[in-house]
Amino acid sequence: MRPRLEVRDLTVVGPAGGRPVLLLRSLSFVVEPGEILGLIGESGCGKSLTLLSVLGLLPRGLAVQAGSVRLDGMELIGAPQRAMAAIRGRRVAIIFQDPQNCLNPSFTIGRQVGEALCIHKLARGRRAVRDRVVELLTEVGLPDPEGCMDRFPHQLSGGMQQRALIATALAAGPQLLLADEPTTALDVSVQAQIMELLRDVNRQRGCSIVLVTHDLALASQFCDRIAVMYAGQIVEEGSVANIVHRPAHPYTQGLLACLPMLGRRQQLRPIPGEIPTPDEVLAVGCAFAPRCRHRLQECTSAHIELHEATDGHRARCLLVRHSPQPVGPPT
Amino acid sequence: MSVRGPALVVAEGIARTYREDPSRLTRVLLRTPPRQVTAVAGVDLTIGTGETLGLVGESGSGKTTLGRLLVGLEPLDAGRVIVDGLEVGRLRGRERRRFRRRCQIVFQNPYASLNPRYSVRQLLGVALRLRGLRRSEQTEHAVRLLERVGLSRRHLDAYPRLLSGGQRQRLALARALATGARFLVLDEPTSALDVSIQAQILELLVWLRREEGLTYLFISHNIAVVEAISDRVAVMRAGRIVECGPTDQVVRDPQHPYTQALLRAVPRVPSASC
Repeated sequence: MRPRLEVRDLTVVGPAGGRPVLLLRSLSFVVEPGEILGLIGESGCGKSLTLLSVLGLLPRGLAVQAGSVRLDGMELIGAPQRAMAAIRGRRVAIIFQDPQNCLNPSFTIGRQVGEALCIHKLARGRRAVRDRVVELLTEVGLPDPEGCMDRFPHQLSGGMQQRALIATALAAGPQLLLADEPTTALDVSVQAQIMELLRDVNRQRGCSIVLVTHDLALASQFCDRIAVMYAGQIVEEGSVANIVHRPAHPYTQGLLACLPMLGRRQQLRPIPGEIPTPDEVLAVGCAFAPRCRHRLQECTSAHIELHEATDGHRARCLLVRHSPQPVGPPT
Repeated sequence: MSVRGPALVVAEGIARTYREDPSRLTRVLLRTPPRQVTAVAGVDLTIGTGETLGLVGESGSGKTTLGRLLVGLEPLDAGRVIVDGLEVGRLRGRERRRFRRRCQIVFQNPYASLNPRYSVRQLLGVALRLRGLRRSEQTEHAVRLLERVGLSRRHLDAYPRLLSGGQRQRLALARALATGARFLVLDEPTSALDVSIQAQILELLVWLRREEGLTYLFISHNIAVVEAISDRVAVMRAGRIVECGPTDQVVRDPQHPYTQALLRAVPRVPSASC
């Protein structure tokens, strides 16, 4: 089967202090139909930028230098604006972190959810649009969908706003949903409800999802596969079980060791040092090397590929090449 | 309920209500009565010397208001707070300044809590002056403080914008310690940070507590973070503490349905069997 989304060697450059720096460095990943992929990483690693590149919505000053993004086989990099406009919302949609800033405060929920229907000409006439919006609001579990239609965003709670935003994203029936930290602004109990809703969307519509989050625990509960990003690269990818229980990259191991996890009252072991800014990242070698406790001499001089640890589990680390066994468990 | 060491902080029946006054226009047009929001509704609380009490709850539950009440940043509507033998609401003048030196608060967002126009030296200088140190002694003290929190002399003349999020939160901690504080209210001190940096700050907090004999009220919406650092946990909902006990007990065997629901909602890594 053709993958839903195929990103190959995507490289994005942006200016930093007058000279161009690489923000995404030869990023490749695949999302299969119906699959949920988690993109994990800390701030500045390029997770959100990856989603924006897929949509062709890079901020001013940033450009795709190389690579390809294929949606159901169709190349999106360099596609004309008109083609992109027909794709956005219809075939791929995005939901952002902060629903309050994404919903226009001066339009009703109904109007904003219905907008995509009108743009893509999926419903004609007031009555038809209204009926379809009520269906969508019901699908995302908003209580009293008829009433919500005519309410303004500020009249809804954060969780309800996020549901409304998901309804806008689903309106034109996309087969790929990009979710950029969709629950970070919400309380845990609301987070659980929203994640459940996204899972229902995935199952019932067969819609693929890319979940961008910094929360490895959340991703491990929700995703089929996880890709861990660091400094604009994917450093490890694999099934949830492999990433969480048999992490091969020292960064993933470090993330797991410093993540507070309930009921496992272990000592947290911080990763020393700080996340590098894009202009600090070494041109050759491993970006994580300065913070890595397994660092070898070649780590800062050799070009490091993704090495296969086990089937479908790959890590950008020389230690994986040296030993097919993952390096020590993150005790 | 066991408290480690003699009580340093005692709160009895404290309450705080905010009145939300609608603008005159809405009051006239819509006849809206002023709305009352009870942020803290009669809380009893004891924190032992050297103890870390974790305070968890969802947004709007009153955690931050409770923290502010304990250090005297908000007036009490009812009840009383005694910290280290001093009753918070009754202090005036010199006594009040002495109290303020003993309790400090560290806020969530280090980007907002540090004046961007002050250098590190000035930021710490303000706090050190409160302690009565002369200008000539300040630099030496400031360096010592910076080293305690994992920064160094070379940060003295930096401005907050040049520091990373983690470094700023270290600086905020140094400033809190500069007054000679014994009791710190930590209001979501790590939620603006990345996980790898969060762990560094938590480790620093644990180390400082042991070294300096500090007492913490650690406020967070993330019960997993609270579990990692607290001796006891108090769970807050709608202005009241619904459950309070030793951390292990609350996490493993929660009694209140709200605590149970809160714990169920926390994402966990699936067990190794898969």
